[in-house]
Amino acid sequence: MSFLVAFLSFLIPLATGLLIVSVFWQEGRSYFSDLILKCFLSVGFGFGSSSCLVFVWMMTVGRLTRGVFILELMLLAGLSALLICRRRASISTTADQPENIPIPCLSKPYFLGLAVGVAALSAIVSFWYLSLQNPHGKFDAYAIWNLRARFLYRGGEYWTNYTYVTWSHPDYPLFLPASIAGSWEFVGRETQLIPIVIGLLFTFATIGVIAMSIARLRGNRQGLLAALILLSTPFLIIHGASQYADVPLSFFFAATVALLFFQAESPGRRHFLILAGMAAAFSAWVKNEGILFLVLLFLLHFAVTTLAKGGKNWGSEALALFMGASPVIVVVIIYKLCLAGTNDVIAAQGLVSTVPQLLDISRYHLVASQFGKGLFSFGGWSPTFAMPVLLFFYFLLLGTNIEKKHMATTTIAVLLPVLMIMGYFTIYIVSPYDLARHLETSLSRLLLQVWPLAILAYFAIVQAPERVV
Amino acid sequence: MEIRYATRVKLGMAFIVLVILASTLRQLTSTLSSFRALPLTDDISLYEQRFNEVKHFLPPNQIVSYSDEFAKTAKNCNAFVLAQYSLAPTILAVLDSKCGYISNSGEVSSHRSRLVLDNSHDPRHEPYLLRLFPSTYFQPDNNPISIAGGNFFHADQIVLLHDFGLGVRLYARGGK
Repeated sequence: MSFLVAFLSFLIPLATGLLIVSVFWQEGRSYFSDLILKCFLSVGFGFGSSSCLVFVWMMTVGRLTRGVFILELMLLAGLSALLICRRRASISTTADQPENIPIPCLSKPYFLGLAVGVAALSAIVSFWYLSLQNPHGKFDAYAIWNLRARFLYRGGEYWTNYTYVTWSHPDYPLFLPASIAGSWEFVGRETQLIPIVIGLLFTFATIGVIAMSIARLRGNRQGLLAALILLSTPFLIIHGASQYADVPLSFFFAATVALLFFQAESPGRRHFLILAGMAAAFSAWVKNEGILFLVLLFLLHFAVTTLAKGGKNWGSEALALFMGASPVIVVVIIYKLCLAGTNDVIAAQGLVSTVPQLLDISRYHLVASQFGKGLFSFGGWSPTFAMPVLLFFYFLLLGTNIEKKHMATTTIAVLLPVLMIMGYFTIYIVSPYDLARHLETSLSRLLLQVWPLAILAYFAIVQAPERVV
Repeated sequence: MEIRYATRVKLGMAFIVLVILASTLRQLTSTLSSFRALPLTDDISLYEQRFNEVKHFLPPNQIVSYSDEFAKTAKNCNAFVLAQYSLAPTILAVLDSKCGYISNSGEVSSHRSRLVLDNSHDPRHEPYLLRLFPSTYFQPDNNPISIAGGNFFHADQIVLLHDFGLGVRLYARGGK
């Protein structure tokens, strides 16, 4: 019974997400084209839009009530109408749709498919075990995300009182708490099943988006291999079950770049850019690291597109990105201005302490050595064959091949995780906390955030085995 | 030459997949065998039960002073964090400790209630506490501070309102 009610509570966000993705999907295609990929993407877009509505509703009405579901249903109806209108308008243009370039097909990858099946089974069993062991999640889940969800759900008109709990990072955005509280309101009671299932959906949707996107762009073998690599990253599964916000964040990072690749497939239209902008803005609604991602995305897009396609193209593409991002950016700004406290790292930081930290070589040495070690171990892999070593071996074996139409997007895809890591590196250098402890408690999570994105970038570069063999 | 390269690629891919598959199967076997050791109720849910009664006495919109025997040092904050998690939306302000700092602005002061929650732990009565908290929490140098003997309330008159059992007690400053 609990499973059924929890499932029902997710129907509205997931349906909304599917409609948002479908409205901006390639015109002229059937509703059911790329359905599995759209379903994976709908997890992020659904909970993203639903959590924004919950927040706006609570700010307007003053508390969480079931009226928010009327708002969600209205959005659902509006999107359905828009989808039907777009479908009718675009039917006549179906003929000139660019088709994906067929990738030479070898025999069916049964062995790889079997391996992915076993890895998926293992990941689901692990997730189930960890969720039974810790239904309230790990420390950050009950100290930040689920705690805040309880304030939102139980607090009534005093829901903003969580801002007094200054040790619990009140500046962190409300994506996860509002998603959980909204579902509790729908169910009518608190149940740990909700944050568990949200964690489950995001963990497997992240893997699904990466695998399906790579399969679409580079062939089924690469897609299956990417799925196998992510399913066999124990820390991704453990962290998803821990109910932290890092996995949803990694979902939005990966979805943004996957959508940029789809845009490169059909350059005449801007629909995927709108979705990419929205996904990037949702990342800023999940965690503060998403703000860095959003800023870097716009800067990189400006630099790469201007160089590759000229300023005029950049203007129209940037506009589409901004159109997608702007509604969510407005929500983030309202949140930051009206509710969020000062960020603890920034608050504890002063120019007096920052300058000596920036000039302290020992800090660079410590951070660099921890990053060096962390890159090979953060995933919880077997020390004998760490995944990055296997990936390097695979890279040497197959070599590289970047299609010309993907060159600009591949550059963005490679530079984004690199610049994100450089940003995290700098934050550690100026960290006001005990540096060793700060690294110990957060580095693996930060590396995990960019891991799916890095896998997407990696497979965009490595030659597809279908082409080699 | 062409065929040899293709074979090399296939063998390389098979090697990678086999390595990953081997560690996945090991992981699956170990997880399946761990299911038997799972307790019926998780430790945090058990811990939340100790606050079932007291939560009805706490105001949802005020800040309640809190103390436990571990919260003397910043590293022993788990009990306080779990108490706050259980008792939200009531805000707990831990006394004389590095845990749970709450700024003392005028707005915060106006929300302070006269209630004081004492939360002490005895693993002899609740053995799961030894799993929930690090064993160092129960070392002799972490001896419980009784509320009367603690140095928090010297300036105030503290009255016991209710003892809820399992070490959870509610006091009021300045009389009932």
